[in-house]
Parts: sequence; structure tokens; C-alpha cells
Amino acid sequence: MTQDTESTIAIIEAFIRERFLYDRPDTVLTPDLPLMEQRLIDSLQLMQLVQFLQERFGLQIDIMDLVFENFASLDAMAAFVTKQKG
Amino acid sequence: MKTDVLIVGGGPAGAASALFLKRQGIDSLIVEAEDFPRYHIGESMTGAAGQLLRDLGLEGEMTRLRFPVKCGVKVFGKSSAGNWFVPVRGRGADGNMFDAETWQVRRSEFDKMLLDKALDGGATLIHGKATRPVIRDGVVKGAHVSMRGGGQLTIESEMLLDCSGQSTWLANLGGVTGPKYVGAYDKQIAVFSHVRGAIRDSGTARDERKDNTLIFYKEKYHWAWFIPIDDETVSVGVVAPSSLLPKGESLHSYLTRELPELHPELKRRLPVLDLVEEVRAIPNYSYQVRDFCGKGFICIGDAHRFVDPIFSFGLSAALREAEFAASVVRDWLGGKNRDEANPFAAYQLFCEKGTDVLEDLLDTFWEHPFAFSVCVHNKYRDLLTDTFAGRVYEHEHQPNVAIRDFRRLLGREEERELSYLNGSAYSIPIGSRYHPERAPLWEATPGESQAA
Repeated sequence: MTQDTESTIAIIEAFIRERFLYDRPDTVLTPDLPLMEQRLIDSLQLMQLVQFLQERFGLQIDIMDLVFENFASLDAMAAFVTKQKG
Repeated sequence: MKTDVLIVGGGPAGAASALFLKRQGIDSLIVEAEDFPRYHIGESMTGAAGQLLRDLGLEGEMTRLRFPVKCGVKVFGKSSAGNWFVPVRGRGADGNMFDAETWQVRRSEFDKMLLDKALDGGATLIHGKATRPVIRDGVVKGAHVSMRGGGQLTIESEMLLDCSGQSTWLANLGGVTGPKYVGAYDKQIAVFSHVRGAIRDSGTARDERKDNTLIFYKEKYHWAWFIPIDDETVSVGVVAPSSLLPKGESLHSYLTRELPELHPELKRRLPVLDLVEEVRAIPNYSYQVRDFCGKGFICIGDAHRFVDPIFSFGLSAALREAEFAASVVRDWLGGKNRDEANPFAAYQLFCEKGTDVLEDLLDTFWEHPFAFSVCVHNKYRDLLTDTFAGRVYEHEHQPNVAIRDFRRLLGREEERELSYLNGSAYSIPIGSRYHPERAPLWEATPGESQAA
């Protein structure tokens, strides 16, 4: 994992914890954990997450990229962000 | 009996046609089989439909009749996911958006009001049922009518408007319009009634108003509506694949069982199931008629196409198409386009393009819910608010970039474009292609390629 990816993951994780998991601070979040599947966030919250990613990382997300796979886990999101900025 | 314009069907498409024609100085004759008031489904409408009623000077009537005021639609997704609100918003000439309102209607009252207005304006009502059109040299020149009191009447016309609604009079006869194809949402069934004792939202915020539409969905193609139609009564309906209806179960039993099971939020709002109306059903409500215009006739509204009820576009389509029809009818009566193979190609294209935008919105909602949500809430919020409001016929603005992206996502950009270029100004029916297992009405004409 590159330094960049690590810090991207850290930024996303911090947002998720603060916005969605504030009442569950002991939740373990590994980079590959499937967040929706594990019911840590719901679909409405996922949309807020996508909005955050766009704003925080200055992304223009094409509709063809609005698929669950790109936002399934911290890893997936970091990879997506890196690809978009690359 | 002779008339310039003969309107078959006195529901909203027919009555609105008469009202818009009156503005062109043209009187019409309306043939209607039923006695009004009578029950009818289709109780919510878009912002654009509300605006058309205002344009017709009917806001006072709508208020006098105390129709519930709709500020928007609240959609409840799969149980845990919360809800989202689509507000009714208008768009001014300057391009600015503003909060707007429209209405929910008890159709028996609404349809009677509209027909009465048309008659007050000078239209004539004939109580009868149109049986067959009169056709001379390939031109529709009127209709034969079976009169309510008995006997037959032949009415000659210069122009006939088929406003027969879901009964698609001309399309069912064959030989006048082209074939009637299954639509994208066939093999669905809607089962519905009215209830008392339902718990509505309450609040002053727009998304909490007591008369808003609520939509609950359980699964793909399986959902329910909750539409207040007066202070005590709420229209409720379940829409699902017909295959899910157990054989031998009565509609009443199905509806009373399904409603509380469909979504916990719906169950909460229906603590008692006090049904005050017969439980009815409409199966296979989705269809599209090809070549629905020709010499001496056009079809308006449900008489040529219905996609799906979930975004309440039906009344909107009827009113907007009726408005556009008035000017093309005036032109025809003035002698224009008499030699064209399809004198109403422009009207036909106007209708098809508008409903195609709705269809793309619907298909994306079901097939790509995640991408759809992001677009509605965020990426294309205003453009989709416009679209939900029913502003789909403004062809200088539609398809907007959101709809074009939806077409890209659905893989149908090229096909939409191609269909509009073809000479018959007709959009390729999605139905059987989208669900290839349902193709009974699909007939590829020789030389026409069927999309994969």
C-alpha cells in the first residue's frame, strides 16, 4: 500500500466514523471490509459518502462509475479515488 | 350528425382536448359511454399537470373542490434505508426554480368537473359508445355510436380524437392504428382501493405535509402507493409482478394481506384496514401503440401509450398531449397537411419523445437504483426535479444531460436517436426487448431490424 492510498483510506475512514459510526466507536474497520454488506452503512448513507468523496477529492464521477463495486470497501474507494485523480 | 371535431372519451384527455380546442375557437362533440361521476384510477399528478390546470383557469375549481395539495413525493426504500423526498418544483421563464404545488384528486369528482367545464364552454355530450370509425378513402371521417338509450348514430367529423384511455379503442379495433405492443412494465398488476383511518405525515415542512404522495418499495417492480384524496380517505395500491398473485385468492384478500407486509412504514400508517371502496385490479397496464395518428385522427394520452404509474405521469401526459393536439387539429381543419401520409407526424413525435424520457427515468430507477439515487440527490438534482415535475415535453431542454446519461447507462442512446430519425416518427417499443421473454405482441416488420 502506498503512502497516498494509506492517507486516502484514513481520510475516508475518519469521515465514516464521524458521520455514521459515532455511536459505535469500537467498530473494527479493515480496508477490505464490505461496508454495506456488513450493514455498517445503508444506501442513503452511501450516497452521502459518494458526495463526500466528490467534494473532498475533487472528483467528477461519470454515471458509468456509479456502481457499488467502486464504493464497497475502504480499499475499493481508495483505488477508485486514485484512478480518478490519475 | 356532423361536427368538425369528434372526441371519443370524456375523461381528462377528452375533456381537456375540448377545453384547449375551445381556446382555438373550435367546438367539439364528446362521446362518452359512462354516467359521470364514476370511479377511475390515476389519482396523483405531476407539477406540470397542475400548471396546465392553472393555465386552463381551473385553479379556483380545484380549490373549491378541496382537492388535497401535493408538495412532493416521499419514497421509502428497502426497510432500513430511510426515505427520500422529491419536491414539486416549478421552473420560471428566467430558468429559476421555485417551490410549487399540485393536486391529488378523487377522479370521479375531478373528471366530472373537467367534463362539465368542457360542456359549459360549448362542447356537446353524446351518451353512447363509439363502435367503429367511419373511413372513406383511407381517411377517418367520423364514428358509429351505439346510443345509451338504444339505437345507432353515425357522426361525421373532419377530425377524430381517440381519448378512450386504457381501453385503447382504435388500437384494439385493428386496421386504423398500427399494432399495440407490450410496454416495458407489462406482466405487472396493480391492485387498489381507498381506505380510512390511515396515518399521514403531519407538519409544516414541505416534506411532511399531510397530503403528499408516499411510495413504498419492497423489491424491484414491487411497490405500493399511498395517495390522500380527501381529509379522511387515502388511495392505496400495490403493484407487483402478476405472477406473485396467488391463484384463487380474492383481490380483497390479497390487498389487505399485502399492504402491511410490503413495508414496515406502510404497516405503521395503516393500523386498521378500513376499505371504503371496491378492490379493483388492472393487469398488464403497460403498452405502446404504433402509428397512432393518421388522416383524420390522433390518439391522446392512455389511448396510445401507458408506461407505469409510479411517477404519476398519466394525467400529465393526457393534459399536455391535449394541449399540443389543439394546435395541430386547428391546422388540419384549416386544410394543412392534407396530402401528407401522416399529417400528424410532428404531434406523434412530440408525444413519443416526451414519454421516452419518462421511460428512461423509470428504467434507470429500477435497473440502476444506486446510480439513480446519486443523480437525484446530488449529481443532477435540478434536472431530475424538472423531469419528475413532468417537464418532459420541452424538447429544447429534453433529453437533458441526466436523461442522456441514463440512456448511456441503459445502453440505448443510439437507438433512441435512430428511432426519431425513421420516417414514421415512432419510438421503438422497449418492452419485449427489455424483457425478451415477453414478446407476444412484438412483430418486427420486414426489413426492420430488431434490437438485440
